[in-house]
Amino acid sequence: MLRKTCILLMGVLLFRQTFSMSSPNTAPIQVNFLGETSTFYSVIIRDNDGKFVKFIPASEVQKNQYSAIWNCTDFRGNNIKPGKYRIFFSNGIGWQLDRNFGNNGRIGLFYKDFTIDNFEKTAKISVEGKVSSVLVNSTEYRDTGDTLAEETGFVIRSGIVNINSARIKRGDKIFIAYYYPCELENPWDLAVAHDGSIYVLLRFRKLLDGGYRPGSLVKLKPDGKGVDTAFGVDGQIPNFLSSHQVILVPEENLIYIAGSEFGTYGTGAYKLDSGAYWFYIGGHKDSGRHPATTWWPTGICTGEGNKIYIGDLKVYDRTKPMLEGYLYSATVDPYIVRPGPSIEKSNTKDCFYRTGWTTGIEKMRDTGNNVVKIYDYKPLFKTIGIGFDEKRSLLFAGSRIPDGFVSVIYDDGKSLKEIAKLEDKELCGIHTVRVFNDFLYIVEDGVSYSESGYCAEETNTKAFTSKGKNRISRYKLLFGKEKLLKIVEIQ
Amino acid sequence: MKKKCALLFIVFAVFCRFISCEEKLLLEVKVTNLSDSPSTFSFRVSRCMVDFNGFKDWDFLPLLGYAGKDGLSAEKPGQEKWLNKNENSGWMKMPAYGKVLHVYNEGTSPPDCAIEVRIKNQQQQLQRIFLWKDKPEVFHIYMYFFPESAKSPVLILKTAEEFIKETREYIQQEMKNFPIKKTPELIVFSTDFNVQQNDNPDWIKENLLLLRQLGLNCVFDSTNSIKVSQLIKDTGFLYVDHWGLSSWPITYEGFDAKKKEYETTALRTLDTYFRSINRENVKVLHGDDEISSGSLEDFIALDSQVQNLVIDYFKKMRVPLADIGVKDYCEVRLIPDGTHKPYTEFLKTNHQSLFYWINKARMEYVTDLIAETVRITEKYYPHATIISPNWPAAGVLGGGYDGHGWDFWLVYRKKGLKGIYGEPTPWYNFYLQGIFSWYGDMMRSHIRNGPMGAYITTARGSYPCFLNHFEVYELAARGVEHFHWYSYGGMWGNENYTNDIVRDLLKEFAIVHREFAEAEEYLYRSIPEKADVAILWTPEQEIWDASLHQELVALYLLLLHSNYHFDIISSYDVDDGLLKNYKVLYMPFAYIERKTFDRIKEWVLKGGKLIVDGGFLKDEYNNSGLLEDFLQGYHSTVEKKINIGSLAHLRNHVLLDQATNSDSSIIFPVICQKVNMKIPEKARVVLAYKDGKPAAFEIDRGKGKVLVSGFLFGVAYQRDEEDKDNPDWSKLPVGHNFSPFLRNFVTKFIKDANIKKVCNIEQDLIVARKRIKGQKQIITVFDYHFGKPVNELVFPEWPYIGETIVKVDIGNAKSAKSVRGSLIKRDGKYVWVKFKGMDFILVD
Repeated sequence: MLRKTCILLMGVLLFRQTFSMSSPNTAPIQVNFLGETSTFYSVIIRDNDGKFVKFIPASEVQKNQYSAIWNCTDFRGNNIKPGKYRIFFSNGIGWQLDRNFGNNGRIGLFYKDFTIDNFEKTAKISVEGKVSSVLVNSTEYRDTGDTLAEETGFVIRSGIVNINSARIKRGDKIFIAYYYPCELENPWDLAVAHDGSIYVLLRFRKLLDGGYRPGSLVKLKPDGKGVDTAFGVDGQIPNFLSSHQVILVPEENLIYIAGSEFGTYGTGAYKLDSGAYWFYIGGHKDSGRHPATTWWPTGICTGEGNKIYIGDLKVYDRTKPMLEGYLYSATVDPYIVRPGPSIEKSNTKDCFYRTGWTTGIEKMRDTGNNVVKIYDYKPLFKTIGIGFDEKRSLLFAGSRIPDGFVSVIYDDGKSLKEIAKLEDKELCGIHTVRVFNDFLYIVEDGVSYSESGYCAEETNTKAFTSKGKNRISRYKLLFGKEKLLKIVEIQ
Repeated sequence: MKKKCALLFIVFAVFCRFISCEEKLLLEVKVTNLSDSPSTFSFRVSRCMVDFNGFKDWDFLPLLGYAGKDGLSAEKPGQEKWLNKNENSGWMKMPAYGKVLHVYNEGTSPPDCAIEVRIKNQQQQLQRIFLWKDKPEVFHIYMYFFPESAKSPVLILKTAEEFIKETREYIQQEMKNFPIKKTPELIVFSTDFNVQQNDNPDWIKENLLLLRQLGLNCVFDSTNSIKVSQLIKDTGFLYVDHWGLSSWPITYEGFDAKKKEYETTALRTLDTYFRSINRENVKVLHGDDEISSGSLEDFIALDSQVQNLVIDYFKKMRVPLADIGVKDYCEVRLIPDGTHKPYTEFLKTNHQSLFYWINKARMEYVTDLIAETVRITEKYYPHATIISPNWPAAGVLGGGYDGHGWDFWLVYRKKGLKGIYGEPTPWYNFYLQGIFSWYGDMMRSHIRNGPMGAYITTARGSYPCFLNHFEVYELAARGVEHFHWYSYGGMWGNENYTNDIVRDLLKEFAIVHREFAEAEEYLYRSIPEKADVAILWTPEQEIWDASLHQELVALYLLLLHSNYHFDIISSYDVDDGLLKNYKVLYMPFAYIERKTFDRIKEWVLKGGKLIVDGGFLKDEYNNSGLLEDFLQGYHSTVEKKINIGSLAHLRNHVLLDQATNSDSSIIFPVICQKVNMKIPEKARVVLAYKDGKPAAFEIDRGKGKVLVSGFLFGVAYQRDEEDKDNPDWSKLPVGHNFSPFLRNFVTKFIKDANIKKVCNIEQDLIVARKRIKGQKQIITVFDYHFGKPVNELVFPEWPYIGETIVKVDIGNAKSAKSVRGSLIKRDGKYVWVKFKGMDFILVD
């Protein structure tokens, strides 16, 4: 199905286009071209050196006729410098699992299954990572160390499962769940650094025995094939009681994690290079009545200057610890179901996006003493975290349903419009999407919604009770070949 | 006798006054709100013994209550009970057992109020109104102070600014004729500065400025407030100290798990925002408050949970299977069949080899954990001079600090800790014997002349000015380069007393700092003059009978009073072949590893002189016969052995016998241990018990000699002093009439080896230590008679200390200078120095 989609979207242009050099232009510039009906076309503007300037989805104004208007701004909305610009068009948007990444394109939880067909005294089965559990004919044994061996006939250690033949018989089905490249249990969000290193936020997990497994942040190598053990403690910042979203701010050498400190109220800041704790922002005061209390820090993003937007919705100076940096609160709906990550930056400094289970995707603007909604988009599916491709002004919103897909939404500065869907039936429980260069990182959590405790009213449907596949996949974004349409000179 | 009674009376009077101040101070406060907005205020004191919440201890700022329309209340009143404009609380009686009253504005608008305070004790009554407007959240009122350590308190009612200004002016006035203007830069003087985040920044700054003016160049930055850290930096402190990592609690889930735990803690604590301001100037990172190991009994009780840990160690050390009675290491059980509680005692009696090796395994694990905390901290602070848990000298002195087998050498020497930080809080009665020298030498021995620091306890009363001064000199003479005036900072009082900030103590600090500023060029990174004499410590003794520590200390003090350079060494040093550097070795410990003693025997045969103190030696498995093997024909039987207990209570021990020389000019009282000896054929009896049987003998072995005593020299030396003077060690006035005859006997081998006294000083109880730095030398001299005639007790405060003149050999040096005293004359290689208590002599 995936391949089919790609082929469809990447279809060869049927219409020949010609390009021309026009006389000096002023904004706005309209370009028209012919294309195939019901196919996604886009216009790409580059400067004379080929450097990317802007991406604009084209509209089918009449059958087979497409049009796009460029207001002579770059992707950040800034007016461009005078000079020559090249206008290209392209058709199709698709994705392909990047099989060079991790274990054949994915990291996280994997499975290996086989049937016992001989009676060696001890069977030794190797897997590529830490074993999570072993199922024998549907009975699950979780990794609790050597003691498991005494009772069940298994020894699970360092990626090797020893099976004592006394406890099994021919024909038994053995099913081994393991993690690659390290224990990645219940991934919730991730952020990618400039060098491609991946910081995966693992959320706490309720255990079968009623206890909790705390959350953590793991730093992985760019290829997803190993942990960067120089970071934190063996590659991770451990022991978060709660956590919702992670963002990186390289210029400050800091990582911010929403909800990781002060119970679940504080946004923790940690050193990007070492993982060392720096301080936390926000918190809880006067039984929560204090205006600076950050009750639901389910999302974060940085704003202009030293601002940071937290949860729903406080504005803080991020250079000051605890409640010291409180600036003002937004007069928006106080409580919306937001499992987090729930905030994503935009390409203008005073705006950002936020997501909510019932509100969909909202674009917010900071007015200097308040934060207001300027427009929104309510997809048919429920989305949690979204990824923003700053260059193309594209939002990628995952659907947290069994047959997962990612909706591609364009922000034209006035509204949000869905322009395409990226599908892969293998996906289940998409928690968030992150964009880095031309890659999409898809995070599937490891819980059902009833387990996550955020959305009890939704648990009566299969869609929301289905358990995420507990992994992260990397897809390469694919666009059609760019064809030069026009060279314009802007005065 | 009259003098003694008079001194005792003075001390008694001082303590009575001290106590009465706490009990009979009456404090009443009335607050009037002058603001347009209703307001309420809370009150705290530093530090109060009783408050509404029942806090009696360990609370620096107990809450006394809130002011409202109904007067003082334990809980914050509702707004309807707040004071309206011009409304007052009425007189509120408060528990007043504190030095400073802190008033907090608890309203919603800036403070504007009148605080009326009346305070009273048996001698004085004061009343004053303070106006408080628009300043930050806290207003401080000083209520009393101690003008001098040994005097009673004086009531005052001053604002913090007034009191600190007056104190600073007093010190400046007192110091104006003091010739040294420089403050130290290389030798570090630090203190803790325990302020709260919402304290008035001006008040904090005034305190810090005062500390800086006193010459302190370092502050313990508690790193809980960026504001305070910034003020520390702005005030011009050169260095700060921080907390490092703690290894506590010691648990046994395995090294890797603990390492991860420590790394996680480090990640959360060592590089935070609150440390960012002064992070680069950190000199010392304190680990655990006190280094400690947990209990051996608890460890053994864990049994199978620690079995792998023990077995892994046994395998690593290749412990002979036959020694521990198993055919395979996997058979090792911590609690063998039939064992009952207490396991420690049972194993000690019935499975000696297992007991020994379990001790070693546990200690290896514990020390690995401690070393790991240091290694992790060092990653964050590579430039810090010392990263160390606090070395609990007081515990060591008590012996068997935390169960069996404490092995400080293993921690500091073999695991490569970065420096050592001592927390010497000794029993008072040894101050004037030189106990801080023992701490210094013990730390020096642990870290082998690496960087050393120490807390200096500054509480008044039992730690008066002179002792603080003396202690710092004793430690500096051993190489300590970082001093921490304990719990002084911020004028908060310390955890033992509310009122330790006394002006003469502050002045004393200032004097110390200025003296060290003059001497630091000579002291800093100098090395001690080489010692030819050593005193041996063994981990085996710690395992089998830690109480014998007291004999090591007592023997140390004897050797110190004899004025010879000597080192405390360990059996690790012997194993490493360092014994060849020494000519004379004292063995106050009775347990030693067999292989270590083999090296000592070789050393004796090559000419070493060995003193075996106590008459018997046992190996690591508690087997006798080491001495018997070495000295053929020797046999010993322990007639009596009593736990020494505390050196302060030697007088309570029964006198077992006397050891006397042939003309009875030397008489050692025999206490705690008496061993009957059958001596080898060619041995010479040098002391005999009352019944004529040998109490000590000498024998030649190869090119060397051995002196064996059937009793303990150290405790005998101490007891002899007690018998002569019958001093009550628990009282302040003490004196020294230690017998030079006994010292001369015990150090006979040193003299035989032609080893000179330090700087050729022969005067009784004048002790010197020399440190060398290139062409420069610094000689620290101490008068352990304190300028008093023999037999006369001394109250350890400056007015009671007399002057002494000492003749010091400075060799061919071009010049010499006394820092505290004066040079009277020079004749050839000798200078005559007049000083009081102690002095630095700077030699070029």
